[in-house]
Amino acid sequence: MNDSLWILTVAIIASIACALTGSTLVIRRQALTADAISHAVLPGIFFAYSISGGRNSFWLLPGAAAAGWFAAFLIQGLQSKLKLPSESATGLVFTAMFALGVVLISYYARQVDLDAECLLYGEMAYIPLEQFYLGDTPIGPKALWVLTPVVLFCIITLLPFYRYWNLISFDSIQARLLGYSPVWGHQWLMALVSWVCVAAFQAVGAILVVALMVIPAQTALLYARNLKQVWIQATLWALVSAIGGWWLAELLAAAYAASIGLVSLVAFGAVFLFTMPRRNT
Amino acid sequence: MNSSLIGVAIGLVFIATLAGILSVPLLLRRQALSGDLVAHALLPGLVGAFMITGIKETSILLMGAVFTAWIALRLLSPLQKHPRIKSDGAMAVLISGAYALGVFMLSLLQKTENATQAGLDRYLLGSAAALQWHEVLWAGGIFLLIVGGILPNVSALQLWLFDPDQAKMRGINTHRLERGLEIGICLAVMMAVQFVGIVLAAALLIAPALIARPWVNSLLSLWIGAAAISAFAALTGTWISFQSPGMPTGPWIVLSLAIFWVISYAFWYSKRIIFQAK
Repeated sequence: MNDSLWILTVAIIASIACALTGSTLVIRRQALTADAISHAVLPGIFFAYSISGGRNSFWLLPGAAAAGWFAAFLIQGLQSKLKLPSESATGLVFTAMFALGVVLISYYARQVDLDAECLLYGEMAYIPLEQFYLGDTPIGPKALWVLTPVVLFCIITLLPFYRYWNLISFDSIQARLLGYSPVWGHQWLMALVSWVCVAAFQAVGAILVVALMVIPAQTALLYARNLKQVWIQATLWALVSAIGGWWLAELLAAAYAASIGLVSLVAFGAVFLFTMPRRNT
Repeated sequence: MNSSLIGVAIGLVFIATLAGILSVPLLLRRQALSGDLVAHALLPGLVGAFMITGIKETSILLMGAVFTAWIALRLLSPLQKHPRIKSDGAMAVLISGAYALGVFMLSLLQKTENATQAGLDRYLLGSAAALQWHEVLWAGGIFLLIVGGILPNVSALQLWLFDPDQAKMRGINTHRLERGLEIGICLAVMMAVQFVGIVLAAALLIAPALIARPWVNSLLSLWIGAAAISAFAALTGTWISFQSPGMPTGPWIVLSLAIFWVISYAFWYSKRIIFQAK
C-alpha cells in the first residue's frame, strides 16, 4: 500500500470516530466542548510525558484524555454550581488550561523534548513514516493502530444504545422518569470525546479534530429528523470531506488536515444555503 | 529594570486593558467566545493579504486579517437564523472552519517557501518579548481610538446592553453600536494575537469581566473593575515571565487572570454561604 493511501485510510477512520461523537455533542448543544477539550489536553500531555518519560510512551494517551475529561467536568461544574454562562465557563477553562500547558512545557523545555506546536498541529503527511512493528515486519502506520480501537469503541457504545442517547439528548426529564440517568451518559460522552481528540490529534492535528467533530454533524443536523439519521448523515458527510479533502490536498500539494476541514466547511455552506427556509416577503 | 521590560509592560497593559473593557459587553451579550472566533478568523486574512500583495508589511497583513475576522463575526447571526443551528453550533463551525481555511492557505504558501519569512507562524503562539516601541505606540493609538468611541456613547451602550428592545424604541441606532463593538473586538484581538497568540487572545476577552462581576452593581464599575484587573494581570504576567529566561509572557498573563478568577469567586462564594447560613 503506498503512502498516500495510508493517509486516506487514517483520515477515513478518524472521520468516522469524530462524526459519531461529534453529532451526539452538537445535538446536546455542546459543540464548543470539542474545541475546549482539544486545547485543554495540553497539561495532561505534559504530566504524562514528564512522569513516564518519552514521547512514544503508552501513558501519553490516557494522561491527555484525563485532562480533557477534567476540563469538561470543570466547565459543567462552573455552569451548574456558579451559574456562569456556558460560553464564559468554556472559554475560561480551556484558555487557562492551555496557558498552564504552555508555561509548564516552556519551563521544562530544557529537560523535555516537547513543544506545544508539534503536539497540537499534527501533520498528516508524516503518518506513513511512523510504522507499527510486529516483530520486525511493519504492519501499518501507528496512527491507524491507535485510532481503530477508538472508532470500534465509539460504535459499540453509541449505536446499540440508540434509545438511551436519543432520550437523554432530547428529553432528559422523560429519561429520568424512565429510570435512565443522563449524568452517566454525559460523563461517558465526555470521556469518549476526550479519547477521540487525543487519539486523533497526534495524527491529524487539533484543527481537524474539532472541524471533523462539529462541521459534518452540524451539516447533518440541518435537515436530519432524528438521532439515527444525524449519526448516519454526519458519518457520510465526514467521509465525503475526508475523501474530497484528501483528493484536494493531493491535487494542490496542500496540507491534508486543513483541506479536509475546508471541504467539510464548503459542504456545510452548500447544505446551509439549500435548507435555509425562504421567507415570502 | 531594563528598557525592553518597560516597553513590553506598557504595550501589554494597553492591549490587556482594551480587551478588559471589551470583555464587559461580550459577557453581558453572552458572546464571550467572539474573541476566540476573531482570533481564529484572522489567519485566512493574514495569509490572503500576503498572497495577494506579496508584501511582508505588517500593517497590510493586519488589515487583511481584520477584514476576514469581521466577516466571520458578521456571519454568526445569519447562521443562527437557520432553525436548526444553535448559537454554540454556529460558533464552533465558524471557529474551526475559518482556522482550517487559514491553515490550508498557509500550506499553499509554504510550498513556495516564504511563509516563515513573512513571520506568519509567529501568530500561532505569539511572542510578547518581541514587542517593539512603535508597536507600543500602535497599541496606545488603538486603545485611545476605542475608548474615545465608547465614552460619548456610554448611556446608549448601557441601555442597549441591558434592554435592546427599549433602546430601539428610544430611537438609538443599535446597528451602529453593534458594528462599533464588532470592529473594536477585531482591532483589540488583532493587537493581542501578535503578542499572546491565537488561543490565549480569547482569554483576555473573557476573564476580566467575569472576575469583576460578583463585586459590582453598575455597568460603569464593572468597566472600571475589568480594566483595572486586566492591567494588573498584564503587569503581573510580564513581571513573572521576566524572572526566568525563556518564559512566555502571554500564558503567564492568562494564568494570572485564571488565578484572580479563582480568588474572586472563592471569596464571593464563601461570603454567600456565610450570609445565607445565618
